[in-house]
Amino acid sequence: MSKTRIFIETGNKKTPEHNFIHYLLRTIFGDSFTTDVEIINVGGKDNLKNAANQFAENTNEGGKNLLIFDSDFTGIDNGGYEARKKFLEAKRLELKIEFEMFLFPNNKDDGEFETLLDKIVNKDLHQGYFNCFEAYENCIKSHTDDNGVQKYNTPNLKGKLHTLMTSVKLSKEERDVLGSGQWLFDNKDYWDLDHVELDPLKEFIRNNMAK
Amino acid sequence: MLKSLYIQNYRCLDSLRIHQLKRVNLITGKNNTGKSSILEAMAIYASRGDRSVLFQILEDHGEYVPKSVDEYDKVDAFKLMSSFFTNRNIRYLENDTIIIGDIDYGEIAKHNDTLFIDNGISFRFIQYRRGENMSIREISDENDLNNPIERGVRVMYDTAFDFLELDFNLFKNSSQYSFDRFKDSQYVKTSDVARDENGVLFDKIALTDNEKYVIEALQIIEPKIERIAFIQDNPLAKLRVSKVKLKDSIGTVPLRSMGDGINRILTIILALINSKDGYLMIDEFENGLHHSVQAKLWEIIIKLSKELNVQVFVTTHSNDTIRSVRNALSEMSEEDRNDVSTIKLMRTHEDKLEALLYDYEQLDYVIEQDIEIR
Repeated sequence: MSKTRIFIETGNKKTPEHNFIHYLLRTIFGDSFTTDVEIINVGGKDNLKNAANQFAENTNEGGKNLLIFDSDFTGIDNGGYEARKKFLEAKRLELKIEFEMFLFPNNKDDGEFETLLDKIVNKDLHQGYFNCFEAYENCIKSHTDDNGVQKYNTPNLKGKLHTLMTSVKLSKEERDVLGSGQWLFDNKDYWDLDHVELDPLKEFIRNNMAK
Repeated sequence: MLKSLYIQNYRCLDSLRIHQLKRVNLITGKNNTGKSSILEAMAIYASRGDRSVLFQILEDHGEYVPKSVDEYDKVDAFKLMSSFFTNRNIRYLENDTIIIGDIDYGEIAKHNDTLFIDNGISFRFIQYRRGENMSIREISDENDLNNPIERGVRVMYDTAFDFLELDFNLFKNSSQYSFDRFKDSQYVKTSDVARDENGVLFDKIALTDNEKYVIEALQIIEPKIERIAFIQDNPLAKLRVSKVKLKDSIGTVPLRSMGDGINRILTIILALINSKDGYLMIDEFENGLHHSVQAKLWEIIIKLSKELNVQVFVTTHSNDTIRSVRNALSEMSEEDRNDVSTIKLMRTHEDKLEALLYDYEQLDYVIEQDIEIR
């Protein structure tokens, strides 16, 4: 059977991004997906050349490649949905590789992996935490240097979600694997993998799997 | 040094293009992708089709090769030669030519295999008639019945031409042929741990600076080794055996008593030093070598091959070997890294042969990501 290879931007498997894709695939296809889908960590858009053989190999074997990267933000490091899409299309030509592409958060807007996570996090159960974090960000936003430039980055989505996961009460076993990116994506107390915001990504994966 | 490689119709290599070769080329891939066939093809190329090399390959494959001169008249040379061709095809068309060379050579030779071109060799079955003075006239028309058609193999290389008559004399005495055409290249096979010819190869470098490389390589496993010599222990035995002198000890020790690994290293290093300005082929590098010694040996091979201008082709099935190349290169200069390529052979879902090339950074990436490429 042909394989689907999903290439993601993170550099290793001990990251929330890798684990999220893993649990999302389980949500879509059940446990059986593990034999014919492989998640490959590229290590950044500028590392595609080093992963190019992994694309070519799967294409040669009749498999399909999906690339799921961040759109990032317009005006920052050539980011933004349109600019990033163009960049990756140019890379596809340059490296002579084949892949279908989806850019976080929803394949049309600027944003990143955490933008999508922020949509599916269980805000109802952790409303108090989010209110506090908002107040904290409002507070640090007011701190500026002598030129009036903000000293701290806000909003900080990565920090907000990371702090949530390290703040909640967890068992020792759950806490021990947090650092490996195991953010309990299958636990409804934190994440909703059935959220409507995930539909574009799920549809992309379903439509482009190797047959 | 070949900059690229084109092989057509050689055994399972029906059509293979490797767009870039480096000084040291590590070839990996699943079984039956043609790794060893590449080494054989390179040995044929390096020897310019020397019959002794062809004969050796047939013997290694267990094809029927007589053991005594009396048996030679029973040899079906036609059948033997066909075993070199993809699907053992015996056809007389340009498409059925065996071509081994760089890609530029291959692109020309596949359309016209009668030209004299550098950087390649071709073999093709031909039909011919004898003319006056036993001259050979190739024919394509089989309907001319005036003279009997004979068949043979035409070999073209560089600016020369050879013709193999497919009769029982083809490989007669091949094993005694000189290795003149193959003198600047060596082929270390999987089973070669302590080769019979090691003594002869050592004689060629004895009392030269190259002796120190042999000692340095042996010291990877046994740092106490100070000297080596090949000695005829038994006056009745033809072969000489390798003996080493260890630091702080009296007398000598047979190298054979020190395990397969150190003997494999000796075989590899002697082959490398005796391939100056030529080619070295090593099949299944890892054979007999623990992974802990492989990186050090690679370092010597990479440096020495540059110094002696040797192009090296190595096959492996082992992840340890691939890792050891990366580990060796991680301690070496950018220039050394650029001298090495890892080549993964694979068959596509359409049964075509493809070669994926990994430079140092790409190799480092797959190893860091725990992706197997063997």
